[in-house]
Amino acid sequence: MEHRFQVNLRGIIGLLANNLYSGPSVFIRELLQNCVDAVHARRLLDGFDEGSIQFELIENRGAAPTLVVEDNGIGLTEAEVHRFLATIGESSKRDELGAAREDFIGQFGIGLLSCFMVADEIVMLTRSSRENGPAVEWRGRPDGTYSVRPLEQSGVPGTRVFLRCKEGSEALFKPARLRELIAHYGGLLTEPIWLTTGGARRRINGEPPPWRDGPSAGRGDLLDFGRRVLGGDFFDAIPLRSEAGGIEGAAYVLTHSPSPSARQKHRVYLKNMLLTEQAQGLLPDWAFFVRCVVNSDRLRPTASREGFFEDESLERTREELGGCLRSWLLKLARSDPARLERFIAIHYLAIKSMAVHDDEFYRIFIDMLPFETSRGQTTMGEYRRANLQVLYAPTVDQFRQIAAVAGAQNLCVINAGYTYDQELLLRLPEVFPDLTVERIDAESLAQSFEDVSLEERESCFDLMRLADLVLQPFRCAADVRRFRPTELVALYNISDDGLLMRAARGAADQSNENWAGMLANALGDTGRSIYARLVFNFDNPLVRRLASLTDRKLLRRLIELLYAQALLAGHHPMSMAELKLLNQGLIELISLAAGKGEEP
Amino acid sequence: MNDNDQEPEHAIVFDTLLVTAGDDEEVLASLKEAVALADTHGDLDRGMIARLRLIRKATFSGNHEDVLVHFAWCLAQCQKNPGDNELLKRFGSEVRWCFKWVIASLPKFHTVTRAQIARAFDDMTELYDISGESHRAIHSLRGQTACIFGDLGQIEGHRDAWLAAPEDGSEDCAACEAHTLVTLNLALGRPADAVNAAAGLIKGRLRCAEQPATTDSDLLVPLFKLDRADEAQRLQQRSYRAIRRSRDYLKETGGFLAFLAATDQLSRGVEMLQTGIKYFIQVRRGWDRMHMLAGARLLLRRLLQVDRREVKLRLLPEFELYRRDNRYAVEPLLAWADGQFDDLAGQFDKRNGNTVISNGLRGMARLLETVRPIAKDEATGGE
Repeated sequence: MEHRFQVNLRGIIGLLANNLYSGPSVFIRELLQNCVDAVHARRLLDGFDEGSIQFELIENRGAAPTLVVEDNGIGLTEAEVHRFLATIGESSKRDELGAAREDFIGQFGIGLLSCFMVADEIVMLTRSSRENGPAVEWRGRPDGTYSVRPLEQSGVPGTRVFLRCKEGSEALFKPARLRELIAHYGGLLTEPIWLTTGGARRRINGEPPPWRDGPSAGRGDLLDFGRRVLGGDFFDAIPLRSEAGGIEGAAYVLTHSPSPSARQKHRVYLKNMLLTEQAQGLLPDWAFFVRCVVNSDRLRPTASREGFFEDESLERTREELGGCLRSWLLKLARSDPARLERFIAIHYLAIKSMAVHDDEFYRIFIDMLPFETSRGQTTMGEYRRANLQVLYAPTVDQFRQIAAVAGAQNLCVINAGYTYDQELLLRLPEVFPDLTVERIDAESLAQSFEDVSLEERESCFDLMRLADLVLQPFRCAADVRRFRPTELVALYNISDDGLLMRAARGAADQSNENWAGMLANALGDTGRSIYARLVFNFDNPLVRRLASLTDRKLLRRLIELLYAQALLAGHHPMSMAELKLLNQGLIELISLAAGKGEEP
Repeated sequence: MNDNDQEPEHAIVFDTLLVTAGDDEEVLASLKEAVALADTHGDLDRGMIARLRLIRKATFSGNHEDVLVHFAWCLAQCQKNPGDNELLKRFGSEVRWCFKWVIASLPKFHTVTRAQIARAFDDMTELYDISGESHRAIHSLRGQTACIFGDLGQIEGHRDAWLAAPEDGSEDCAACEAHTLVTLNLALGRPADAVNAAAGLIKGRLRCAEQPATTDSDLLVPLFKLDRADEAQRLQQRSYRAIRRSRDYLKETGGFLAFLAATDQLSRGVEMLQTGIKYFIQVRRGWDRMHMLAGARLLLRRLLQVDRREVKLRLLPEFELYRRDNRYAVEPLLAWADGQFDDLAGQFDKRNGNTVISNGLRGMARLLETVRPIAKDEATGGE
C-alpha cells in the first residue's frame, strides 16, 4: 500500500528562510520577480508594452500595516491558480505560454512562499489577460490551506497581492526600508516601479545604469555608478559585454592588491533584477583584480543564486568578459604608460598569471613586471638591461639562502619561488633569444665559489676531515672555498628537501617512536642522501688559523660552534642536539678563557 | 600589567608573518618562518599556533610532507604530561581536527606501514577519548583507510559504525561525509550507489573547500561506465577549473584524464596532462601520483591510437623528460608513465598485501575499448 508524505509547510518555509533565502527581506525580490515575469509574459502574448509595478503601503493607526503589490501583467485564470499556487515547486513559467523557461527570472516555483516569512496570510487577486473570465481571489495560509473564489467584478488584467505585516516583521513595512529594498532589488528594472506611502507616489527606478546608453557610456558615469552600488573608490571602470552570456555591465579595478586565491564577489542582475551580490566564477581566474556589476539576460543561476551552471555558455561568457579586460589592458599599455605603471604596481600578480598563458600579453608586459631579486625589487626590463644571463632561485627558501651571499659575488638572483615566476622566466628566451636563463640553488652557488689551490686544500685537509666527522650526526658535510664577503667564516646551505628533513628530525626528536618512524618512512625517499654543507671561507683569516690548529679537542669544539653560528645566521631553528652543542661549546670556551685569567 | 604580561619582542614579527597574504607558496614560506621564529625563542604557544595554520595551508595546497612533519610536533606537545597539559587544553580541538587530515593522508604514503597507521589510529582514539568526542570521524577514516589498503571485507563494518556513531560537531562537514560514502561505495564496486550518495554534491547543495571537485573527479569514470556520460560531462565542466588551480588535486587529475581520454576530448586532455605532470613533480605522495599516472597512461595511449605522435607541453626543467622546445614525443612519455605507474603500484601492493588497488587502476585500460566521443549537445552542457 502506498502512502503520501505529509509536508509541513511551516517547516518548509523555515527551511527556505534559513537555507535558501538570505533573510526575510527577500520577499520583496520574489514579489518583484513575479511582477516582472507576469508583465513579460503578457508582452510576449499580445505585445502589451505598458507594464508597470505598483507598491502601496497602507498604514492603519493601531493595526498592522498592509503592503499591496500590483502588476498589470498576464494574470492567472482560476484553473491556473489551483494548479500553480497549490503545488510547491510548480512554476507558471515552466514551459508554459509558449516561451522558453529562460525568458523568466523566476524558475523554481517557490517565490510566493517567501511572503509567509513576513505575513500570516497571502491574499491575491488576479485576472488573466488571456480569458475574459472573472477575477479570482486566492487566500493562502502557512498551514498549507488555501481558498479560491471567483469575484463578481472582473477588473483589468493583472495581479494584486496583499500582505498584512505579521508580528516581528514591522521593520520591513516601514516606508524608508521598503523604498530601500525595492531600489536594491529592482533599481535596474526597465518596467517603472512606483511606491505609494502616506498618499505620496514616487518612482523608484528612474535612473538606468550607464551601460544602457550603449558602448559610449563614459568612464566617469561608470565610476559614479560603481561608487554608488559597490561603495568605495576604484582605480578604473571597464565596460563589459558578452554575447554568450547576454551580459552588459562594468568591471571595477580595485585600488588594492587582493590575494590571488581570493575569488571576487560580483553583483549580478538577471534580466535587470538583482540576483546576488556574491556571484563567483563569472570571470577568468586571472581577473581577481576587479569586481563587477553586470546584468545578464541569459545565464542560468543555480538555486542558491550565488553562481551559475558551469556549461559551455558560461565558459564562453568568461572568455568574452576576459577579452574585455584584456583589451582594456592592451589599450592602457598603448595610450597611458604612466597609468599602466601604477596599475602594474598594484596588480602585477594578475598580469603575471595571464602572461604565463598569453603570448601577446607576455611580449607586451614582461619587461614591466616586477621581480624580487637579491638586489631588491626590479622590473624585468631593468634586470635585462643590467644582466645578460637570468639567474633564478626556484624556491623561496633557496632564494633566502642565496640572497645573503649573491650580492657579494656580484650576482643578481631572482626569487622564482612565487607562483608564475619560474614559468615566466623560462619563457624569456622565446622573446629574447640572446638571453640565457639559469637556475641556481644555494648548493650550486656555493660550489661556484672560487676553488682553493691544491696546496691550500691540503693545508685544510685535516680541518675538513674533522669537520665531516663532527658534523656527520647533523647530516652536514664540510667544504672549503674562497668567497665574499670575507667576514663570513662559514656558510651553511641546504636544499629544500634538506630543510624538510631538518624539520622532520626536529619533530621526530619530540615524538614517540611510532611517529618518528612514520616520518622517516614517509620522507624516506627524499631524505636518505640529503646532506647540508658547511662551506668554510678560505679568504677569512680565522679559517686559515683553524687549519693550523693542532689541538683536536679545541678544534672540534670550534667547528661545532661555527656550525651553530652558521645555523643562527641563516635563521635555521636548532634541534635539541644542536642547542646542546652550542651550550656546551660556549661553556667550554668561557671556562677556557677563565682558566687563562688570574685566580681571584 | 607586570613584566610577565608583556608581549615578547618576537611577537610583532611573528604576528606579521602569520598574516602574510599572497599565493600558497608565499604564505607557506611565511608560516615556516613563523615556526622557525617561535622555535628559536622556545615559544611553544606560538610554535603551536604557527604550525596549526601551516598544517591547514599545507593540507589544502598539496604539501603533504609538511603536514606530517609539523603535525607530529603538535601531537608530541599534546602527548606530554597527560592529564595536565596546557597546550592540549588550549589547542586540543584544533589538533584533533588536523588529526583527521593527517590520518587520511598517512595510508596514501606507500612507505608508511599498516602497523604504523594502526598505532596512529590508537593515538587519535586516545585524544578523542580524552575530549569525550564522538568516534564518528574515526570510524569514517577507518573506512577510508580500508579502501586504500584494499581491505574490501572491512569497509561495510566501518561504514555501519560510522553512520551509527553520534554527530557532535567533531565529524567531517556534510559535503565530506557525502564524499566518504561515495568513496566507500566505489571501493565496494557499487557505482550506482556512489552516484546516489553524491546527489547533494552533484546538485550543488553540499560544498566545502575540496568539494564538489574531488567527488566530481571520482565519479567521471563510474558515470561513463554507467552510460551516463552526459552527466559526467557536466561534472567535468564544473570542476575542470578547480582541479587545475591547485596541486592538492593531483590525484583528481587522474580521473579527469581517464574520462577525457574515454570521451576523446583530447585537447582538453593534453591541457590536463600538462597540469598533472607539473603537479606530479611537486607532490611526492604515492597515492596521488599513482592515480594521476593511471589517467595519464590512458590519455597517452589514446593519443597513439589516433596516431598523434607528438604533443606540445609547457613543463618545468624538474621534469626528467623536460624539453626546452616544449615538444614531446608521446611514446617516451607513455613509457615514462608506465614505468612510474608500475613501480608505485607494485609498492602499494607490497604494503597492502593485496593487488586490489593496482588491479582496479589497471582495469581502467578497458575504457579505451569503448571510447565514445562526447556529443556536441552534451559538450555544450546545461543544468
